[in-house]
Amino acid sequence: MRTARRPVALAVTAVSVLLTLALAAPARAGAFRIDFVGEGRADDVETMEAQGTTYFRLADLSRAFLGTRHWNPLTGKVTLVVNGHRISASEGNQFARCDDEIRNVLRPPLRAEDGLWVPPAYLTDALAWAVDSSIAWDRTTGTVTVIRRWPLVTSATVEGVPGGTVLVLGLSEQAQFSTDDSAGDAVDVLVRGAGLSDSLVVPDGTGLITGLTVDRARRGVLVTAHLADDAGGYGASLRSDPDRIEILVEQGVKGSSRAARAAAPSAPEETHGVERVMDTVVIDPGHGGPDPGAVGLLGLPEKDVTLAIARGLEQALEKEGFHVLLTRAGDEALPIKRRAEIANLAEADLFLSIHVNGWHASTARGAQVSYRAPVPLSLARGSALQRSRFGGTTTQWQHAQDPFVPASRDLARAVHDRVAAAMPLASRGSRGNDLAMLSGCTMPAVMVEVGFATNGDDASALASQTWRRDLARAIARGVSDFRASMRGRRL
Amino acid sequence: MKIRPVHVIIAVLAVALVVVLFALRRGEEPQDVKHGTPAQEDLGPGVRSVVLTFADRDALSTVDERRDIAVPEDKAGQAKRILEELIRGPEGRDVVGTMPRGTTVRSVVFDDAGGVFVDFSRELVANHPGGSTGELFTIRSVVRTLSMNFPEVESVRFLVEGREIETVAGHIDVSGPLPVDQYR
Repeated sequence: MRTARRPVALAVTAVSVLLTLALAAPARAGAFRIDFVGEGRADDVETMEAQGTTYFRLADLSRAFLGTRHWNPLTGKVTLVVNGHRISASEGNQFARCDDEIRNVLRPPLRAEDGLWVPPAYLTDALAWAVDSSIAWDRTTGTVTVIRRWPLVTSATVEGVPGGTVLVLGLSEQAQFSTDDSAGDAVDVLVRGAGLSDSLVVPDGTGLITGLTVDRARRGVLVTAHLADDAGGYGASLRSDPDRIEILVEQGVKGSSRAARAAAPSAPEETHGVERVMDTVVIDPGHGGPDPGAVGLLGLPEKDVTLAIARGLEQALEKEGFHVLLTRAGDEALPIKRRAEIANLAEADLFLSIHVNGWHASTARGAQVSYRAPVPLSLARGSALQRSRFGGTTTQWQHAQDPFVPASRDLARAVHDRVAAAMPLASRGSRGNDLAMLSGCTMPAVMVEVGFATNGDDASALASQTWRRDLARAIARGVSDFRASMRGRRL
Repeated sequence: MKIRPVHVIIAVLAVALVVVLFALRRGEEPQDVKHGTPAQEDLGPGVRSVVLTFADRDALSTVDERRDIAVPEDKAGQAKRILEELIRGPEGRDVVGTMPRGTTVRSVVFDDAGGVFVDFSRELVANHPGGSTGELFTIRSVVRTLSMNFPEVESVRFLVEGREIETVAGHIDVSGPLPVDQYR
């Protein structure tokens, strides 16, 4: 029995050894194409079939992913540095060190005369982690697909708007950007770390933007807006829509503060923590168009009262040296978030929304000034651009006002104190409320409610021209008080 | 084996402990509106003691009223009935109702994640007196009333005629779920 079994055992051993050798040895050399989706580039890498799978030549991967390789002759370890991360791998070890963590790449790398060869999981796990991408490989077609988990610039449009021309860039997700106008006749918008969508169509120029150039730069996507001779300043705006960058190029006005502002240093600049010159105020007359607002006991629609007071306030603030803009100059409908967008687009330093209050009975009365109460992070919805002047990061619309809440509270108090002192109105104080028109504002912002339309005394006062004029002056004094209190302070 | 007094005491204490533990466990059980609290059982079948949130006459704070009302068995039906009672208005003196006249509740839907959708008729917007204060207290009345009567509710979503609205009266964003903690 023992002698009869020996040849069988030997045969089994031999077949096993041969199978092992056959699987371990490279079966055939091949090549895979690496397709970098959204970057418009591809690269070929050498592969070989071994151990029942495909192995990729690390030197080729390093070139394709713009990395560098470092070989330690003592340990045989090869470290690939890509996108600021280090991936160390060595022959016979199926664990790769990725910075400070260990990843299992399922099969050990193989060493051949021409360097180290790595298994598929090295790409789909370790390398994907390092370059922050999704990486998939398809053996039947011989392709590796790399989809960056970075924002893509998906669209670009140029269109005329009142007073200027606007460039709108659509993004797949939030992105950081900066602008540079040092060339003089163009504004460069660098969307940092971004890629280009294959579907992006570069539009023709119109109005103050004569043409657009879109390039893949080393640090992201560079969009250059070529400017007409009569172009003046430009500004990046805060949008309530998520994932958009909007650059408004305005008609040039020599000596205007806006043109001077746009020509200021173009490097990304923090808008918080710097002393802010307060010279531009946006006044928002509440409601308008088909929305009358509160209609009180005397049948006077709120939209008319707010517009009248806003006009009086405009005059009073201009006397105090402010540059004033109104969100609406006539009886127009205006979406609530658009009001904040207008203030952001104008790079306003202060935002004052004028309203008339209302109640379910005639008993409530008096003036109140509200600021936006901070929103807990978990409750926020939507997104927007955080900073408005020279660049920024897209962030949640509800949080745009957060950094300004302390200043908004001070502004509310200053305005309320002046109104309470000057007007024969009951005082309801200044308070934090959840107000939609203030949420997206990237400047101190308050809502002034000048009495209750539903209260007899307040409604009579609201109908008086003299009363409206005095109220506008009181609000203007409060704004001036706030400006004086902010001198030397930082937002 | 002879039974000693100490054994009797231990046995009695053990039984007492079991009874106490059982009672405590019952107390921990979440309140289920279908079974009703003991107070509700006293009211008889189909009647529930509910809390409705209104406001004071100066529009400075909310005022709660308790009331016994006939309700259907299903939870959504109960919520609809409670909101209808809220719209009917307060009974107390110097208490102000916060729902616009003519408003009706088209439907109430609870989801599985603590959210509740309330679909109002167009009068909620069309007949609202306006003002941020009037609007804030309308929202607070609905949110607080639902959360007081259904403690599992975490957020309330306002719909009008089956559609999402941006605001009720032009000041407060109600286009998404309103967290109970923020408006209660």
